[in-house]
Amino acid sequence: MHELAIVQNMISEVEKSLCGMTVSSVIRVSIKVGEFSGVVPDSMQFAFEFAKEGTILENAALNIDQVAFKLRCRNCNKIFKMKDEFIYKCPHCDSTDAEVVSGKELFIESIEIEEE
Amino acid sequence: MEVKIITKILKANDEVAAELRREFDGKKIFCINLMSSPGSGKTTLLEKTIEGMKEKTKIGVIEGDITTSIDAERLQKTGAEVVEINTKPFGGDCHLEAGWIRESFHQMEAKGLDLLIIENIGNLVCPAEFDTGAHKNIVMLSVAEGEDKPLKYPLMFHKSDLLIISKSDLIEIQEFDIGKLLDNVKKVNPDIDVIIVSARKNTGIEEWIGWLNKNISIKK
Repeated sequence: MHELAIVQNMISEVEKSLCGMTVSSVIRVSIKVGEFSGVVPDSMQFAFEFAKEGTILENAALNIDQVAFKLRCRNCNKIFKMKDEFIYKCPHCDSTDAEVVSGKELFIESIEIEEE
Repeated sequence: MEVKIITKILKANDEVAAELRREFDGKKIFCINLMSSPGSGKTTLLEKTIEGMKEKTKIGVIEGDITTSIDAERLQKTGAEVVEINTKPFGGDCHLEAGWIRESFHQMEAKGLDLLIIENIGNLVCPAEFDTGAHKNIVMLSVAEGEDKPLKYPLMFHKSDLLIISKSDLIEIQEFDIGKLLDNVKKVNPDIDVIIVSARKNTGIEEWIGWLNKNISIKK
Protein backbone atom coordinates (compact mmCIF):
# COMPACT_ATOMS: atom_id res chain seq x y z
CA MET A 1 0.00 0.00 0.00
CA HIS A 2 2.95 2.35 0.54
CA GLU A 3 3.63 2.07 -3.21
CA LEU A 4 1.05 4.84 -3.74
CA ALA A 5 3.01 7.20 -1.48
CA ILE A 6 6.22 6.21 -3.27
CA VAL A 7 4.65 6.85 -6.68
CA GLN A 8 3.43 10.27 -5.51
CA ASN A 9 6.95 11.08 -4.32
CA MET A 10 8.32 9.95 -7.67
CA ILE A 11 5.91 12.18 -9.62
CA SER A 12 6.87 15.19 -7.53
CA GLU A 13 10.61 14.50 -8.06
CA VAL A 14 10.01 14.30 -11.83
CA GLU A 15 8.08 17.58 -11.74
CA LYS A 16 10.92 19.22 -9.80
CA SER A 17 13.58 18.00 -12.20
CA LEU A 18 11.65 19.23 -15.26
CA CYS A 19 11.01 22.62 -13.73
CA GLY A 20 12.25 25.36 -16.05
CA MET A 21 12.26 23.12 -19.13
CA THR A 22 9.77 23.47 -21.95
CA VAL A 23 8.26 20.03 -22.01
CA SER A 24 5.13 19.20 -24.00
CA SER A 25 4.79 15.71 -22.59
CA VAL A 26 6.66 12.97 -20.81
CA ILE A 27 6.73 9.69 -22.70
CA ARG A 28 8.49 7.47 -20.21
CA VAL A 29 9.96 7.42 -16.73
CA SER A 30 12.58 4.77 -16.06
CA ILE A 31 13.27 3.76 -12.49
CA LYS A 32 15.45 1.23 -10.70
CA VAL A 33 13.85 -0.80 -7.95
CA GLY A 34 15.95 -3.20 -5.88
CA GLU A 35 14.52 -6.61 -5.00
CA PHE A 36 15.18 -5.74 -1.36
CA SER A 37 13.69 -2.23 -1.48
CA GLY A 38 10.32 -3.40 -0.17
CA VAL A 39 8.53 -2.14 -3.26
CA VAL A 40 6.34 -4.46 -5.34
CA PRO A 41 6.67 -3.47 -9.03
CA ASP A 42 3.12 -4.57 -9.92
CA SER A 43 1.66 -2.49 -7.09
CA MET A 44 3.75 0.45 -8.24
CA GLN A 45 2.47 0.15 -11.82
CA PHE A 46 -1.07 -0.09 -10.50
CA ALA A 47 -0.68 2.99 -8.29
CA PHE A 48 1.01 4.90 -11.11
CA GLU A 49 -2.00 4.48 -13.41
CA PHE A 50 -4.25 6.62 -11.25
CA ALA A 51 -1.66 8.81 -9.49
CA LYS A 52 -0.44 10.20 -12.83
CA GLU A 53 -3.83 11.63 -13.83
CA GLY A 54 -3.77 15.40 -14.14
CA THR A 55 0.03 15.55 -13.76
CA ILE A 56 2.80 16.08 -16.29
CA LEU A 57 3.09 12.28 -16.42
CA GLU A 58 -0.49 11.77 -17.54
CA ASN A 59 0.55 10.10 -20.82
CA ALA A 60 3.77 8.55 -19.60
CA ALA A 61 4.67 4.90 -19.23
CA LEU A 62 6.53 3.66 -16.17
CA ASN A 63 9.51 1.46 -16.90
CA ILE A 64 10.66 -0.48 -13.83
CA ASP A 65 14.07 -2.13 -13.90
CA GLN A 66 14.46 -4.56 -11.01
CA VAL A 67 17.93 -4.88 -9.48
CA ALA A 68 19.01 -8.23 -8.04
CA PHE A 69 19.73 -8.57 -4.34
CA LYS A 70 23.45 -9.26 -4.02
CA LEU A 71 25.64 -9.62 -0.97
CA ARG A 72 29.38 -9.64 -0.35
CA CYS A 73 30.64 -12.20 2.13
CA ARG A 74 32.84 -10.52 4.76
CA ASN A 75 34.63 -13.81 5.31
CA CYS A 76 35.62 -15.03 1.81
CA ASN A 77 34.91 -11.74 -0.01
CA LYS A 78 32.86 -13.46 -2.74
CA ILE A 79 29.71 -11.83 -4.07
CA PHE A 80 26.59 -13.95 -4.03
CA LYS A 81 22.98 -13.60 -5.10
CA MET A 82 19.98 -14.50 -2.98
CA LYS A 83 17.44 -16.85 -4.44
CA ASP A 84 14.19 -17.28 -2.54
CA GLU A 85 14.86 -15.88 0.89
CA PHE A 86 16.50 -12.62 1.84
CA ILE A 87 19.03 -14.18 4.14
CA TYR A 88 22.69 -13.57 4.80
CA LYS A 89 24.35 -16.89 4.17
CA CYS A 90 27.32 -17.29 1.88
CA PRO A 91 26.90 -20.34 -0.43
CA HIS A 92 30.70 -20.60 -0.75
CA CYS A 93 31.79 -20.70 2.88
CA ASP A 94 28.49 -20.75 4.89
CA SER A 95 29.41 -17.56 6.74
CA THR A 96 26.44 -15.44 7.84
CA ASP A 97 28.53 -12.28 7.99
CA ALA A 98 27.75 -10.39 4.79
CA GLU A 99 26.94 -6.92 3.52
CA VAL A 100 24.45 -5.75 0.89
CA VAL A 101 26.01 -4.80 -2.46
CA SER A 102 22.84 -4.16 -4.44
CA GLY A 103 19.09 -4.64 -4.23
CA LYS A 104 18.12 -1.64 -2.10
CA GLU A 105 17.85 0.82 -5.01
CA LEU A 106 14.85 3.07 -5.35
CA PHE A 107 15.66 5.85 -7.77
CA ILE A 108 14.66 7.53 -11.01
CA GLU A 109 17.19 6.87 -13.74
CA SER A 110 15.90 8.82 -16.73
CA ILE A 111 12.91 10.54 -18.28
CA GLU A 112 12.01 10.54 -21.94
CA ILE A 113 10.39 13.82 -22.96
CA GLU A 114 8.98 15.62 -25.95
CA GLU A 115 10.06 19.23 -26.10
CA GLU A 116 7.77 21.98 -27.30
CA MET B 1 14.76 13.11 -25.91
CA GLU B 2 16.03 11.16 -22.94
CA VAL B 3 17.07 13.07 -19.83
CA LYS B 4 19.26 11.32 -17.25
CA ILE B 5 18.28 12.51 -13.83
CA ILE B 6 19.35 9.91 -11.23
CA THR B 7 17.24 11.08 -8.30
CA LYS B 8 16.22 9.09 -5.28
CA ILE B 9 12.47 8.64 -5.36
CA LEU B 10 12.19 9.37 -1.65
CA LYS B 11 14.65 12.27 -1.89
CA ALA B 12 12.22 14.84 -0.44
CA ASN B 13 11.47 12.60 2.55
CA ASP B 14 15.16 11.75 3.07
CA GLU B 15 16.12 15.43 3.02
CA VAL B 16 13.51 16.39 5.60
CA ALA B 17 14.60 13.42 7.74
CA ALA B 18 18.26 14.47 7.55
CA GLU B 19 17.35 18.07 8.47
CA LEU B 20 15.28 16.86 11.40
CA ARG B 21 18.14 14.69 12.67
CA ARG B 22 20.41 17.74 12.60
CA GLU B 23 17.78 19.71 14.51
CA PHE B 24 17.56 16.92 17.14
CA ASP B 25 21.36 16.89 17.42
CA GLY B 26 21.44 20.66 17.86
CA LYS B 27 18.82 20.44 20.61
CA LYS B 28 20.54 17.41 22.20
CA ILE B 29 17.49 15.21 21.78
CA PHE B 30 17.78 11.46 21.22
CA CYS B 31 15.02 10.25 18.88
CA ILE B 32 13.82 6.69 18.31
CA ASN B 33 11.40 5.25 15.77
CA LEU B 34 9.49 2.34 17.31
CA MET B 35 7.90 -0.05 14.82
CA SER B 36 6.01 -3.33 15.10
CA SER B 37 2.85 -5.09 13.99
CA PRO B 38 -0.42 -4.09 15.69
CA GLY B 39 -0.82 -5.56 19.17
CA SER B 40 2.82 -6.32 19.95
CA GLY B 41 2.64 -4.08 23.02
CA LYS B 42 4.32 -0.83 21.95
CA THR B 43 2.02 1.43 23.95
CA THR B 44 2.17 -0.76 27.07
CA LEU B 45 5.97 -0.82 26.94
CA LEU B 46 6.03 2.96 26.48
CA GLU B 47 3.78 3.46 29.51
CA LYS B 48 6.26 1.46 31.63
CA THR B 49 9.23 3.21 30.05
CA ILE B 50 7.93 6.71 30.70
CA GLU B 51 6.92 5.79 34.27
CA GLY B 52 10.42 4.47 34.90
CA MET B 53 12.28 7.42 33.37
CA LYS B 54 10.20 10.53 33.86
CA GLU B 55 11.80 11.72 37.08
CA LYS B 56 15.15 12.31 35.39
CA THR B 57 14.23 12.52 31.72
CA LYS B 58 11.93 14.80 29.75
CA ILE B 59 10.13 12.68 27.17
CA GLY B 60 7.99 13.55 24.17
CA VAL B 61 5.96 11.10 22.12
CA ILE B 62 4.70 11.36 18.57
CA GLU B 63 1.91 8.84 18.33
CA GLY B 64 1.02 7.55 14.89
CA ASP B 65 -2.30 5.85 14.29
CA ILE B 66 -4.58 5.54 11.30
CA THR B 67 -7.50 6.62 13.41
CA THR B 68 -8.63 7.07 17.08
CA SER B 69 -6.72 8.72 19.92
CA ILE B 70 -6.83 5.67 22.23
CA ASP B 71 -3.04 5.26 22.41
CA ALA B 72 -2.35 8.99 22.66
CA GLU B 73 -4.76 9.27 25.60
CA ARG B 74 -3.12 6.32 27.36
CA LEU B 75 0.31 7.93 27.04
CA GLN B 76 -0.90 11.39 28.05
CA LYS B 77 -1.80 9.90 31.45
CA THR B 78 1.90 9.20 32.06
CA GLY B 79 2.63 12.94 31.99
CA ALA B 80 4.72 12.84 28.81
CA GLU B 81 4.04 15.37 26.11
CA VAL B 82 2.13 13.59 23.35
CA VAL B 83 1.34 14.78 19.85
CA GLU B 84 -0.86 12.56 17.77
CA ILE B 85 -0.75 11.99 14.03
CA ASN B 86 -3.87 10.40 12.56
CA THR B 87 -3.23 9.41 8.97
CA LYS B 88 -6.92 8.96 8.13
CA PRO B 89 -7.16 12.45 6.56
CA PHE B 90 -4.21 11.50 4.30
CA GLY B 91 -6.00 8.37 3.09
CA GLY B 92 -5.25 6.13 6.06
CA ASP B 93 -1.57 5.87 5.34
CA CYS B 94 0.17 2.85 6.77
CA HIS B 95 3.40 4.64 7.73
CA LEU B 96 4.72 8.00 8.97
CA GLU B 97 6.73 10.36 6.78
CA ALA B 98 9.41 12.80 7.90
CA GLY B 99 7.36 15.91 7.04
CA TRP B 100 4.58 14.90 9.43
CA ILE B 101 7.11 14.16 12.16
CA ARG B 102 8.62 17.62 11.71
CA GLU B 103 5.22 19.27 11.93
CA SER B 104 4.31 17.33 15.08
CA PHE B 105 7.68 17.97 16.67
CA HIS B 106 7.27 21.71 16.11
CA GLN B 107 3.99 21.61 18.03
CA MET B 108 5.87 20.34 21.08
CA GLU B 109 7.55 22.20 23.87
CA ALA B 110 10.97 20.94 22.81
CA LYS B 111 12.94 22.93 25.38
CA GLY B 112 14.77 20.57 27.71
CA LEU B 113 13.50 17.49 25.89
CA ASP B 114 15.89 14.54 26.26
CA LEU B 115 14.08 11.76 24.44
CA LEU B 116 11.63 11.84 21.55
CA ILE B 117 9.77 8.62 20.84
CA ILE B 118 7.99 8.09 17.54
CA GLU B 119 5.44 5.32 17.92
CA ASN B 120 4.95 4.35 14.30
CA ILE B 121 1.80 2.83 12.84
CA GLY B 122 1.40 -0.87 13.58
CA ASN B 123 2.69 -2.50 10.40
CA LEU B 124 5.80 -4.57 9.64
CA VAL B 125 6.01 -3.56 5.97
CA CYS B 126 5.54 0.09 5.02
CA PRO B 127 7.19 2.03 7.89
CA ALA B 128 10.52 0.36 7.05
CA GLU B 129 10.67 2.33 3.82
CA PHE B 130 10.51 5.87 5.19
CA ASP B 131 13.27 7.60 7.16
CA THR B 132 11.56 9.48 10.00
CA GLY B 133 14.58 11.46 11.16
CA ALA B 134 15.07 9.21 14.20
CA HIS B 135 18.59 8.28 15.32
CA LYS B 136 17.69 4.64 15.89
CA ASN B 137 15.10 2.34 14.39
CA ILE B 138 13.65 -0.20 16.75
CA VAL B 139 11.49 -3.16 15.81
CA MET B 140 9.39 -4.89 18.42
CA LEU B 141 8.10 -8.44 18.06
CA SER B 142 5.93 -10.22 20.61
CA VAL B 143 6.47 -13.91 21.22
CA ALA B 144 2.85 -14.51 20.16
CA GLU B 145 3.76 -13.58 16.58
CA GLY B 146 6.11 -16.48 15.85
CA GLU B 147 9.80 -17.02 15.19
CA ASP B 148 9.57 -16.74 11.39
CA LYS B 149 8.73 -13.02 11.16
CA PRO B 150 12.28 -11.75 10.41
CA LEU B 151 12.33 -13.99 7.33
CA LYS B 152 8.87 -12.89 6.22
CA TYR B 153 9.46 -9.15 6.74
CA PRO B 154 13.22 -8.93 6.14
CA LEU B 155 13.42 -5.22 5.30
CA MET B 156 11.97 -4.18 8.67
CA PHE B 157 14.46 -6.34 10.59
CA HIS B 158 17.31 -5.38 8.26
CA LYS B 159 16.76 -1.65 8.84
CA SER B 160 16.43 -1.84 12.61
CA ASP B 161 19.24 -1.24 15.09
CA LEU B 162 17.48 -2.97 17.96
CA LEU B 163 14.98 -5.81 18.28
CA ILE B 164 12.78 -5.81 21.37
CA ILE B 165 11.19 -9.20 21.98
CA SER B 166 8.05 -8.47 23.99
CA LYS B 167 5.56 -10.48 26.09
CA SER B 168 8.35 -12.77 27.27
CA ASP B 169 6.02 -13.96 30.09
CA LEU B 170 4.19 -15.91 27.35
CA ILE B 171 7.27 -17.80 26.11
CA GLU B 172 6.26 -21.09 27.76
CA ILE B 173 2.56 -20.83 26.94
CA GLN B 174 3.39 -20.10 23.30
CA GLU B 175 6.17 -22.73 23.24
CA PHE B 176 8.21 -19.95 21.68
CA ASP B 177 11.76 -20.77 20.61
CA ILE B 178 13.93 -17.69 21.33
CA GLY B 179 17.01 -19.39 19.83
CA LYS B 180 15.21 -19.94 16.55
CA LEU B 181 14.05 -16.30 16.43
CA LEU B 182 17.60 -15.08 17.10
CA ASP B 183 18.95 -17.35 14.33
CA ASN B 184 16.35 -15.97 11.92
CA VAL B 185 16.94 -12.32 12.78
CA LYS B 186 20.74 -12.69 12.47
CA LYS B 187 20.20 -14.10 8.97
CA VAL B 188 18.74 -10.78 7.81
CA ASN B 189 20.72 -8.49 10.12
CA PRO B 190 23.89 -9.84 11.76
CA ASP B 191 24.50 -6.55 13.61
CA ILE B 192 21.14 -6.09 15.37
CA ASP B 193 21.00 -5.71 19.18
CA VAL B 194 18.37 -7.64 21.12
CA ILE B 195 16.53 -6.95 24.38
CA ILE B 196 13.87 -9.31 25.80
CA VAL B 197 11.09 -7.72 27.86
CA SER B 198 7.81 -8.35 29.58
CA ALA B 199 6.01 -5.12 30.40
CA ARG B 200 3.44 -7.07 32.43
CA LYS B 201 6.03 -8.84 34.62
CA ASN B 202 8.46 -5.90 34.58
CA THR B 203 11.37 -7.97 33.25
CA GLY B 204 13.96 -6.54 30.89
CA ILE B 205 12.61 -3.02 31.41
CA GLU B 206 15.74 -1.98 33.30
CA GLU B 207 17.98 -3.15 30.45
CA TRP B 208 15.79 -1.28 27.92
CA ILE B 209 15.85 1.94 29.97
CA GLY B 210 19.63 1.48 30.30
CA TRP B 211 19.92 1.27 26.51
CA LEU B 212 17.91 4.49 26.17
CA ASN B 213 19.91 6.31 28.87
CA LYS B 214 23.20 5.31 27.27
CA ASN B 215 22.06 6.78 23.93
CA ILE B 216 20.61 9.91 25.56
CA SER B 217 23.96 10.60 27.27
CA ILE B 218 25.82 10.21 23.94
CA LYS B 219 23.71 13.07 22.54
CA LYS B 220 24.46 15.40 25.49
